[in-house]
Amino acid sequence: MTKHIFPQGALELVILRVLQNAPNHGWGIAQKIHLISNEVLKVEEGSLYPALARMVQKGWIKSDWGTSENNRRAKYYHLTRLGLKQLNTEQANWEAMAEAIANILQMES
Amino acid sequence: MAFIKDLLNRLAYLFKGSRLDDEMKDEIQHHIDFQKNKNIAAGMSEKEARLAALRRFGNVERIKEECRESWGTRAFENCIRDSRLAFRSLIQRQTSTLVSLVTLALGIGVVTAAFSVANAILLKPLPYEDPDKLVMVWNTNPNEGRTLEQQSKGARSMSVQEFVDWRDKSDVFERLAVFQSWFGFVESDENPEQFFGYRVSAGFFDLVGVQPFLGRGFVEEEQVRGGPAAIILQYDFWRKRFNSDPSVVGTTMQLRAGPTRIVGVMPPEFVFSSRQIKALFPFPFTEADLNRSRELRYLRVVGRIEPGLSSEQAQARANVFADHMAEEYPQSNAGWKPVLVPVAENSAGELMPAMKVLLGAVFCVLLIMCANIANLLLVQASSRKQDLAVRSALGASRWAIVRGMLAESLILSSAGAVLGLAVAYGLVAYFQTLLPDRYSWGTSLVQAEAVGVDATVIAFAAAAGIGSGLFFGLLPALQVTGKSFAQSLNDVSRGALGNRRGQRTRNSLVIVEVALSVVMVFGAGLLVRSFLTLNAQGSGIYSDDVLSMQVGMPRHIVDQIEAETATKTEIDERRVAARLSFETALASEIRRIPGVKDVTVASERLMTGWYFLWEVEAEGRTAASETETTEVIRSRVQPNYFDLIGIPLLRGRAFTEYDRPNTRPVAVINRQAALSLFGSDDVVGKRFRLKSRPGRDPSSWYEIIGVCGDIREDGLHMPAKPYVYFSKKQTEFYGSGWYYVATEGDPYRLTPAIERAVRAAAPGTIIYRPRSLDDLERDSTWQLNYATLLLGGLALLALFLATLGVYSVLAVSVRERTREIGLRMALGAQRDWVLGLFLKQGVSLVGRGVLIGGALALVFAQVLGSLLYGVGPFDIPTLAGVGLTLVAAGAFASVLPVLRASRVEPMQALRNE
Amino acid sequence: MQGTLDMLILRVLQKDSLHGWGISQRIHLLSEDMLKVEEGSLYPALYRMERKGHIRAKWGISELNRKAKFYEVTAAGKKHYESERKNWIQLARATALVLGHTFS
Repeated sequence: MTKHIFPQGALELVILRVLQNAPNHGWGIAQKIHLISNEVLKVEEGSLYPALARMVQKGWIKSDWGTSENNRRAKYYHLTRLGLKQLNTEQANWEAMAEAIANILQMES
Repeated sequence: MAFIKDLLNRLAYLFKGSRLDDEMKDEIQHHIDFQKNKNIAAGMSEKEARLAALRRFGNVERIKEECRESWGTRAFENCIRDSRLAFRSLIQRQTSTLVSLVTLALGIGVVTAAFSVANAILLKPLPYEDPDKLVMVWNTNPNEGRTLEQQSKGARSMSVQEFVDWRDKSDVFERLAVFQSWFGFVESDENPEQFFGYRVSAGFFDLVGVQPFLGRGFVEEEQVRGGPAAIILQYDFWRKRFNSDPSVVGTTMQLRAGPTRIVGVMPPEFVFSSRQIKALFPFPFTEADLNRSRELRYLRVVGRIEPGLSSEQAQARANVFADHMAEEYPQSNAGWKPVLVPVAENSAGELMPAMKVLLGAVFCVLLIMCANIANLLLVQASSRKQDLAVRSALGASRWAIVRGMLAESLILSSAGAVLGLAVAYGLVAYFQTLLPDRYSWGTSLVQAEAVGVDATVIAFAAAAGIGSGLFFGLLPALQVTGKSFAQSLNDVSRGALGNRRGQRTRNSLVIVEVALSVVMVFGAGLLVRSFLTLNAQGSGIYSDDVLSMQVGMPRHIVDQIEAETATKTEIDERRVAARLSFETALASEIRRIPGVKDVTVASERLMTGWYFLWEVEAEGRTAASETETTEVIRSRVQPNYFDLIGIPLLRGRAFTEYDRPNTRPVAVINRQAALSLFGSDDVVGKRFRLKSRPGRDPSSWYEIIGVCGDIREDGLHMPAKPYVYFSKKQTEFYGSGWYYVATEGDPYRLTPAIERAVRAAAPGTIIYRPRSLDDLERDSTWQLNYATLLLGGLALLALFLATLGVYSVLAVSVRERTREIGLRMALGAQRDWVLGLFLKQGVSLVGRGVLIGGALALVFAQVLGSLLYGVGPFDIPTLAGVGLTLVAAGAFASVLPVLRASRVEPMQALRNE
Repeated sequence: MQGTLDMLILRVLQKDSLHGWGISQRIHLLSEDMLKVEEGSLYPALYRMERKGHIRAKWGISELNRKAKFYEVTAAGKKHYESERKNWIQLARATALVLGHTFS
């Protein structure tokens, strides 16, 4: 993500959300996030691929080889059942927390 | 800003040390106690409350550790620990540390000193605004024998009318100004002084972009003939003559030309075109100047090219403008072409190529030095393998071990850099004594004074130190830790047959060293040969211990004559007579000083490359040689001149006391002049005269009475100049006289005595620029001498380091293979075989290095081209000599290790391991 | 969560200077216990922020009648907080956008 301040958990969440829709390869995931967030979220390779690797490790996503739009071999990621579960619980958590923080930040001090 | 603050905070924490830790523990305890109190208030028991508080807080020990991390002092602490360990290890290994340190100090010292010279002359920007835009404008005309080389030495470039055209009509220059040599003479009974300055035309200060740092530049009314006389002092002159007193600005100086107002002082770093300039004067043009012939080219011109123009574009435009002028004034301007020479090039002069070579050599030596120390450390590292393996087994990471070894080499190289800087400081002081006299003509090397240890030089030494430390530290560190340590534990305990990989690295390092030293020694060898050739050939002056100096005639004599006499001709006649008798009287005063052998007076100085050329024509050959002109240097001399200076007389006779104004005009000419005028040196009895010039009739015909030897007036490396000599008594004209004093022993020893005699004989005069003929000869080739000394020194260092490298590799090889040797000898190998084994290794190392180096040397020697004399860059004998030197050095380096190998006692060697 | 924690610390220190425990209490209060972090992790954050010059500590006497460090925001800290706050809100909105997006 652009700023370090943005929590890691949030990145994982948006990746899960994008993959929930359809399997995709790394570059495609980054593109999609960028597009849907009205070009606010820019996922750089430096954080994207470590995050993907971490998520594979945790069993939330799986990868296999496929062919990308421009006919090149690419690693496609898709969501696992565990990943779907993670998305459901964490999305709720995140939204609650984000709201709490947003409240604090916007409160008169 | 934020970064610096962060760093400072980290350092502050570092110094707080354990106090910070205690505070942190206290703070955490405070937190937990608060929570405990709150829990108790909520109704928990004391124990429950404490446990709940702790639970809530988290893992206390881990958090403490995180707190410590967050102070950001870890890196420093590691650093300090590494350095402490490194220090200890360096001190333990005294001998090798000392050897490395000496190598580094010498290496960095010499290299830094050499760099400081190249820095001052090549890299340091000239002290002007935007100096790249400044050009000297020379004017060449091959048809008239005006070459660029002659131009930059002599003073002639443009006539006044040409200058005005260029300044006002051409589209090449943003600004254009002229400067011209000008003498000043301070009238004073106690401290008279003659000095050299430039007259500069209006706009000069804006052109160079430097203003006086005290006072002001010249104003318009001072740039008008008849305006108030003004002078701007150079910093050095102001410091020496006026003790840096700022209040002299605005006061009046008594110059021979009249009272002159000091209007400014230039900043200390300002120097322009010549290092001998002590002051600047205004340069007003009169109507008469503007109406002078276009062919009277006596101005030197400096310009700032138009912004946005490259130097090539400027040159192209200048060519176009010159063509226009040639069309407009075919009579005077046909064939004249301007050449724009960047001021930087003009000021570094002939030393430019040598400096580039020097920079290359500096990096070569640095490389060799690094290779050498890397080798030394590699050897150590392999003997420390066991120790390192143990450390690694105890859990030190590869990075920690590499870091430890790097710390050692960086400490070593920093210490080396500091010592090296001290060595460089001394060497630079020595280099400065080798620079030619600042009053020697013919060198425009303005930046020479800037040779010194400045920030750039210190930065260079630091970079050289740190860079080499990284280089020679990283290589062994990676090599040693690269192999599995378990393996190396085994290696060591088994006494393996040598570490092949380490051996290969060390061998290639040595080959590189040898190759680089071949290149350098070859270059230095060529220079030394040139140097020897030149000195064997000499200048044509065969005398020792002659002091040359200029003495002006006391002003009061001239004043008296002018006061007493009416007509111009009469004044001239009486001045000549007064001058002759003054010179005779002064010469006999000087002759009386103990230690003085003889004195002679002449109108010209010798061996300074500074002279006027006069066109001469031979009687009867005028028509035939219309196109080619003979230009000669003219000197008026006394009868004993040839003897005293040591110029051999080849034919005829020298002058006598009887060659006077009323006798037949006679001349002695040198061989060059004879050949050039008559095509033969058998010319006694023939006649020649000085040609007419604009505004001047030809001279009367002179009969040649003698032919003398040539002098390489422009320097030992230049061809001799044609010279004609007249009898002083016969053709005297007023001007200043050059005195040549032959002495017993060191001529400078007598300078004070001569000075006293001159003062006594003629109050208010001075002796100017006393310098021995030997020194003048040396100065004339100082570029070569300097280059030879610097490159020679670097080459010797390279040779020494390479020899050391060969030695250390062989020594280690012998040590590593002791067991093998013992075994083979036990199995019946002869000592000869052992000797052969290591000699072969030594010779093969050096041989490969020499082959590679030889090839490189032939490629790189070409850059020396212009510095060489009497020897070409592809000189195979020199190369062969260098190869032999290196092989001899290699053999020398092999002797000790090979002897040690041959003395191996088989049984002992096997038992030892 | 490091950055977020820093931001919250800066937020609660905007008005008062507080000691460590006080800061943790204030964050709990404000977030209505939504933030489940170890209280201890507050301290490394405080030291790091002090080093960076975002906050500074002064000695004072706490309610327990003990010498304790009271933290306050510096000018640099105020500036940092403002920019981080804006950033955070923007990113949180963007994330919400992605999470709530209906893919077609």
